[in-house]
Amino acid sequence: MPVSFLSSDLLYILTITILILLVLTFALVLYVISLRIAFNISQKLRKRQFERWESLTLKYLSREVSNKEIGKAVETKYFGLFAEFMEKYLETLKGEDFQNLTYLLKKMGLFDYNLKRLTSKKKWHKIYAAFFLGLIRDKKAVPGLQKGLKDKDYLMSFASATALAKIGEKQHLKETLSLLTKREDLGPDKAAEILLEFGNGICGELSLLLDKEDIHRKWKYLIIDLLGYWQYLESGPTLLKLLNTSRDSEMKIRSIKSLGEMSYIESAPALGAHLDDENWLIRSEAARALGKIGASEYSDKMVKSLSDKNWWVRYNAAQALASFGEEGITLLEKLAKQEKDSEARGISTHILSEIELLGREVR
Amino acid sequence: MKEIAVDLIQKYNWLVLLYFLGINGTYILLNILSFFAIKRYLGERKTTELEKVFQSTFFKPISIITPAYNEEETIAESVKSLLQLQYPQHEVVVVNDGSKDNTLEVLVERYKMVKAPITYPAQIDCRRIKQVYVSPQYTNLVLVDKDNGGKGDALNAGINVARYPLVCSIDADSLLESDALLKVVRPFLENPNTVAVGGIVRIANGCKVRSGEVLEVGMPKNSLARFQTIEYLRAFLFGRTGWDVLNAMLVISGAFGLFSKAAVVECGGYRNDTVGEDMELVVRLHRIMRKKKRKYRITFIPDPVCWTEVPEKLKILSRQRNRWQRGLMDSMLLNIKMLFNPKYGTVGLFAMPFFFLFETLGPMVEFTGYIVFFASWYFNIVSFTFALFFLAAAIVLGIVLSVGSLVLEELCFRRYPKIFHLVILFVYAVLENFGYRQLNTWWRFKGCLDHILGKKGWGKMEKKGFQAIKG
Repeated sequence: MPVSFLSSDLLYILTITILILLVLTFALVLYVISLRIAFNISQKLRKRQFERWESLTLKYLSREVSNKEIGKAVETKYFGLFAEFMEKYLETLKGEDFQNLTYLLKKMGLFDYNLKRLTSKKKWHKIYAAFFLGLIRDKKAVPGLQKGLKDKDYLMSFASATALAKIGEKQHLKETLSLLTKREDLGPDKAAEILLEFGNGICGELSLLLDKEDIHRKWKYLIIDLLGYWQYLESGPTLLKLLNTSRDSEMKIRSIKSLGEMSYIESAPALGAHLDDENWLIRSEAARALGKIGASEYSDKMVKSLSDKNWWVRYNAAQALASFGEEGITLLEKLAKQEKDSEARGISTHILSEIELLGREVR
Repeated sequence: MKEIAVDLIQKYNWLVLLYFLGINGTYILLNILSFFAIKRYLGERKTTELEKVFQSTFFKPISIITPAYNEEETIAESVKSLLQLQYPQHEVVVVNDGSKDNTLEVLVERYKMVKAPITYPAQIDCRRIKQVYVSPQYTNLVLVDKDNGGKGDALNAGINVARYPLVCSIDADSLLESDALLKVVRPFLENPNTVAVGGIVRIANGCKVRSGEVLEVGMPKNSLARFQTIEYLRAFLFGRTGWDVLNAMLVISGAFGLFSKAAVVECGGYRNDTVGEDMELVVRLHRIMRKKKRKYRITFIPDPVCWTEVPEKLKILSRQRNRWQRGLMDSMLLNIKMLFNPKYGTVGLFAMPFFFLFETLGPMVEFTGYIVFFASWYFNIVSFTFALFFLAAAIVLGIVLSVGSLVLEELCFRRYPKIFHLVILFVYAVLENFGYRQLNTWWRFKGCLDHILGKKGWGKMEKKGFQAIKG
């Protein structure tokens, strides 16, 4: 016989279900309230501790108290909180103060505590440890971080790579790069965060990678951007070669931008030639780069670009002219009043009003 | 005759029971998945230095597109808050979609905007763009004036004019938290296959706002808004997060979403013949990306916040829910090929069937369920006690799920500062089951009928405006 909705068994199941759900609801409500109460208490404690530690740290940095006194003030159970407190100091302090602070952390045992945590079974413990060791920037952490670099978890691998970069372990650049380029779950934009931490000392090695054929173009784009960002002039010829020979328009655009960023004067003729490119993005970036370089000898070509069919090319060309200084601005004023071509006249007026309203230097 | 009716009713009752188990089972699963996903996300965020992101020049620039139709009262403030967002490089593209009021004039006047014959590639079809304006004072502000064509059409026009590779759609009457872009962009950096990211939408009613920024989070005074607070928490914290874990997120709110411009263009942009253009686009992105066997990721992040004002009047809310239901039906029907289709992976085999069976047809099942319930009682198929107990079980389960989302909120975000706020939310999590939920079912059921009858259009929406702090 099929189960009926009048069956008492079904009613029994329902009753039990309701009771369980009611208990669960009640338990969850209590849990939420207790979470909030616990949070409020921990926030108060945190605030109190931070205030205390702040005054002690400042006294320590001005040598009014010793590391031992701070060590006494921070119990081992508060190491996690103290590490959090230290983050902003480690990120902002430099020179002697930074050295004194890392000395303090080592003496207190916080460095060893995190070194040990690198091998913890708890995922977040080891990730945070890698992050914190990166802030301390001590080479003793390198072997542990190298292991972390190969961790299966992307977050641990990323945290270890960033820490190694912060420590400035350039010999690990190759290993880091090869690991980064192999990970499908990591894009070049995210990798930029790590590479930026290494600092401009890695430009030479990065520049060499541009000639390698087995490097995917998305990574080459990133390298070009970084070279421009660090204004690594030695890579100028390589970028210029890429600009002139590459068929990849994105590669050309990135090269133009970086050549402009590093003000590589030798690239001016090539950039001038690209003002006539059929791709408007290339034309507009070439105009902008010439402005950055300050290649005022291209003023005539730039004036021609003021009549370009694309607004952004006209806009960047007018901005470039303005960045040439008094001479360029006078030229724009003349064009705004007398030029027959309405596009050139319009964009000249527009840039002049931008300069007037913002009172800024265009370049 | 009576026997046939009794047999049918009995079968229908089993169907309702299955429906009940299916929908609540999925919700419980989503709740559990969300818990772990949010925990992981917060752990990751702890070791991310957002300030560095802001300083970096290596982040993809973003074009924020905000369609505006008759927004003269609020548009200038909204634009101001968008211009002030923390991000290395972003532009704000306001699309005046043929407003009948002074939206255009207000912007031109306030931001000293001038006509600029900006050239843009017409990558997606849209109504005629009459004029583009730029501001010499705010060089990252662009105003597009176009013929009226609806929200989807305005977004398409904005995408055409947008300069940057990522486009962020935001409603003109919503507010983004200052670091929302920095947070929402992260999936694009971490996974190069990302094509769309949604952020959380929270309710601004009851919050104190100054200069387009929420300064103090509060609880709405209006009961309808309080019910919606619970609904939004449920929908975003465990709904979207859970679907995201399964890589089957079908909805990114039109109020706040970040997209790869190339992917949107490849899919043909927003459809203009639906009132659910936001969901339809996301479902279509899934369909096209999977069809082309492309690696892609559509994801959700629970902490970049967009604040929005929700309706406080029954009439307005009923129109909104009616529209959402019609939009949902459109999104399902326009992409019906994906339903139960293994070619579309978890989206085709799990998310689409869930949305089709439980969200699209849900109001019809629920509504007819109430009728059949009385019929069952009349024919003595179901005892009154059983019916009462079943109803009680449904209500308590609903409360458990709502409280589950409050647990997630409390564990991770704690945006409501006072314990009193939590108590109010608990009370409303219980109260919503007595009247509000049934009303919602009715509005959605009516939405289904309107869809079948071919009703189009948004219906008039009224907004009260944010609770401003003077000074």
